[in-house]
Amino acid sequence: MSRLVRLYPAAWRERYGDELTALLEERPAGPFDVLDLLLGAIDAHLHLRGLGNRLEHRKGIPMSLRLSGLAAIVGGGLWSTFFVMVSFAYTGMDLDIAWFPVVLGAGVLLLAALAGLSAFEFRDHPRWVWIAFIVPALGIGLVLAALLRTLVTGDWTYDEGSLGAAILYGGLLLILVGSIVFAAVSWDSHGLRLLGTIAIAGGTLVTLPALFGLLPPIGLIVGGILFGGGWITEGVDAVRNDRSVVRAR
Amino acid sequence: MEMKRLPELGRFAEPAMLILVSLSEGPKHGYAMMSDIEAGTGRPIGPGTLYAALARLEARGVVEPLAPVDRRRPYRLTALGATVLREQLTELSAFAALGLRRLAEYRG
Repeated sequence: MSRLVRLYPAAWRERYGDELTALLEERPAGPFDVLDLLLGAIDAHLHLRGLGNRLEHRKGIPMSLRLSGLAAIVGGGLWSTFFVMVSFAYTGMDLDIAWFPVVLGAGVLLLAALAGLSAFEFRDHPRWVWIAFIVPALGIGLVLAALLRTLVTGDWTYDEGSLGAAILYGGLLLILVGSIVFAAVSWDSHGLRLLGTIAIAGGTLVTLPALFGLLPPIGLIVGGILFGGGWITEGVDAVRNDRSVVRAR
Repeated sequence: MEMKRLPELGRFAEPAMLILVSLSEGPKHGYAMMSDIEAGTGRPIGPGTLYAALARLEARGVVEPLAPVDRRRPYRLTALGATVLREQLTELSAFAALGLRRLAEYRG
């Protein structure tokens, strides 16, 4: 983790590098810390170039938690859109390429959201938080692989039993499994809003069987809206938390 | 006193306040500050945010570094920092008192 310190400008590292490295060696770091260090490095580069002060007068770079909250809000909306689109595809509608940018955008935003929101849970469950982050990251890799395969071969069929379907559905399965792990960890540590956690878990449990044809396509719409709504709820909570001065325990 | 507020800190104004309140207990190094802030507010503060705010506070003379102990460098409030923090907290306290007084009379 201390390798991330190398992303900071040399002048900054010379002054703070040693103590920040010592801190990172002393304290176990989670996805939230990685995201926070990346933003910190960008801020240090801008600040040392004199851009930091100018940015501060405007909106500045949002704090990690706020950024993740916004990612959860936008990503949640995209996930609901995606699952509704898939339900249309199940009823015979040809979506062509339109759904790929939606699912890729939703996936990347989900990772950003997971990185920031997991800050609340990381101290209690460091291993599970990493699992909740890495599993969907692998899933997004598979979705990207499915897209690349389609672009290379020109094969847009995702029929049952085909290689394309196996890669794509494998990716979606990992993304949903990672989300339910996060929901379980969040439930246990009471890190975020219970309503959002329940919606993510419930949405996943309805969406998964519908995705694999065990429930009618309406399950994708209901589950997708629940799943996306859960992430939006968590995102709104994170943005609110970030704005509050002190949250009384 | 030239610097009564925490100007020019932008998005780091709030972490800066958390750091100053943490240091008002006595000198602390980065890890101790993070643990103290998390325990006191229930909100995690990332290492990148901590050091971005700390660098700004040091540049404005509100905190100062002490000699490092095993690569861990403690920081403490300067006299200016204590004045700034006292004024900030007094303002916040007056504002909170006003809000609570109004809430007590609220009939919504």
